[in-house]
Amino acid sequence: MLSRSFNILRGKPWGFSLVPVRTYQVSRNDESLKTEYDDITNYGSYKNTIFTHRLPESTAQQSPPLVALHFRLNLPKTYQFSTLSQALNMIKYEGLANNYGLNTLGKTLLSYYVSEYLLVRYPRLPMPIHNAAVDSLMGVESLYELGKAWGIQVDTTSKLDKKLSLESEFLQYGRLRFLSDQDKNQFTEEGIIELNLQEARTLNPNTNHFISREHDAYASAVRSIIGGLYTHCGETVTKKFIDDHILSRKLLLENMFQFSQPTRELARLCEKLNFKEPLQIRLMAETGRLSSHAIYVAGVFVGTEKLGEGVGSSLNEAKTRAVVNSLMSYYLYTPINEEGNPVKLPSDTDYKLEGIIGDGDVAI
Amino acid sequence: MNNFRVMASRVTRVTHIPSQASRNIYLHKGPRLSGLKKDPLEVFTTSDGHKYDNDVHQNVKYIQDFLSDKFHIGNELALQVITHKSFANGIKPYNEKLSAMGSKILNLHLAKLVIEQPSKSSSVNELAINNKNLDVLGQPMSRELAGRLSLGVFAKLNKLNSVMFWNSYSTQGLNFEASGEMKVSAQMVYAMIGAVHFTHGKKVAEEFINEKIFPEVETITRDVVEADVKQAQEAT
Repeated sequence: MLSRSFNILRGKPWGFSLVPVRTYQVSRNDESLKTEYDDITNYGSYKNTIFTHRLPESTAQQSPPLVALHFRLNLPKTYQFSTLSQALNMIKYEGLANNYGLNTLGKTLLSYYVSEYLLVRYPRLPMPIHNAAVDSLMGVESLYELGKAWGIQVDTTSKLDKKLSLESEFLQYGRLRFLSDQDKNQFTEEGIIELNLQEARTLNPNTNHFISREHDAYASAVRSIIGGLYTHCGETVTKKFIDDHILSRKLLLENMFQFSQPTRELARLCEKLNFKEPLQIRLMAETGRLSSHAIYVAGVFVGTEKLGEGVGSSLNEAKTRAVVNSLMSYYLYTPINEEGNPVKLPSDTDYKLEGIIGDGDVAI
Repeated sequence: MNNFRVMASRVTRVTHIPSQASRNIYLHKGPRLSGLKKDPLEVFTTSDGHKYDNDVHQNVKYIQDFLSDKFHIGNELALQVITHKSFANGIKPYNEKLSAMGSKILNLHLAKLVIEQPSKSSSVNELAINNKNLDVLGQPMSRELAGRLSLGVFAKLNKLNSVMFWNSYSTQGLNFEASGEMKVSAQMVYAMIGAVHFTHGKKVAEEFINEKIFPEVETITRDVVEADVKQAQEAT
């Protein structure tokens, strides 16, 4: 660890000395790709020298599943079939260019547009909820579902099987390729799942949930298709595509919240917001206190302003519900402009700041 | 509840507490003690003596000077940019959301920039898609361009982190990286980009990165990556 320390900066013109204590890991290149470049900042000259080539466009056009996918997604004509085929290829060494770069590009685009959308439309979401929302829009499992819904199929037949069954060679170019021939031939028993190293790393021992290679491959294909869209059709088209396929999905934000100490959190929030008057929880109405089905209505007030109210069958329940409702109505606030429409996003044309910028959650 | 209030007022009347009696609250200084209120004077002062309640122009001077008129942001927002979550237990507006936005636009813009730059030599990648060379993505250079080390150093060199409201791991003798200063400074730079992005929109934020961030960060990153490669070679 220490040898990779950051005292590499010693003796540089900014000249403050750095003693290695905690180390920052500078990212290293993936040697298996054998990347070469003329100069480190000559970005155009970077080249992976493992022997690969792009699928000729004329070959890609003859692949029925690829053409079908292209039309199903309503991709623009400028989107090459060969790029779409590359987006579905995760195999590094079998001669065809893989989707690594497309995937990275797609992920960057997605992260930007998803974050922008959430940060502007829901500026007050607490960070853990914001992250959960990002995950539910562009996490592996959601993208897997999306890929499935797009009708992407996995290439599961080995080279030998393809030969024996006289399968057209064009079919594979439209399928998701991530299994090696060895994987394809492996005998699997129903009900038994064997995790490989990569899958085992994602295993959550509490929930027994893991990200399978298949799910990961689907997600990567979806991201790569988005990356490919950028390379051929530019950013405006990509933005529209992300809007249509990713951001249009309904987000169940209100189900993501879980409060451990709501009253304390609300009190702290009022302090952060510099409210002059103290926070009060008052009983607003009640019925049947002496019966077995009492109902209480509690309200949360700051001065004469009511922040929220809640109904419960005990005083405590009503109080807690009132507090949780006030917190939710604060956190889930979404700004609108003068015409009553949702505010514009920074990537929209004629943007101006109409909403608010989140100023952080409170610590409790 | 009304009953309570009536009772309370009766008690007051009986015992004749003078209405001008001032309450004396003890404000604690030094390490946190459960149940004691901390002295705001101490809480809102950083370990290097900058006061949050000082003149806001003074506090955000370095940021505003750097941004110049073209990318100007409001003073309140600039103050939020230089305030980290660790400061005063997060009671003041801090930069977490701003930096979440800033890092995304920075990553996106730099990715677009590196894949679209034509080769400056005769070596051209035939695998490029529509003249966009995707092989450069994921390489150390392109990754570190938006990395914490490069941006932390960038902030230090431009004195952007001269006034920053945050709470260090330790006030004694830790270096730029170990004290957390690098991370917090980098986050502040992300936040600054995020603030420009929110105020002026994506297009201006991209101009901002092109003009003010990229040229210098590229030089820093080049040094960082080359030194690391050299170190790796020495180790093997």
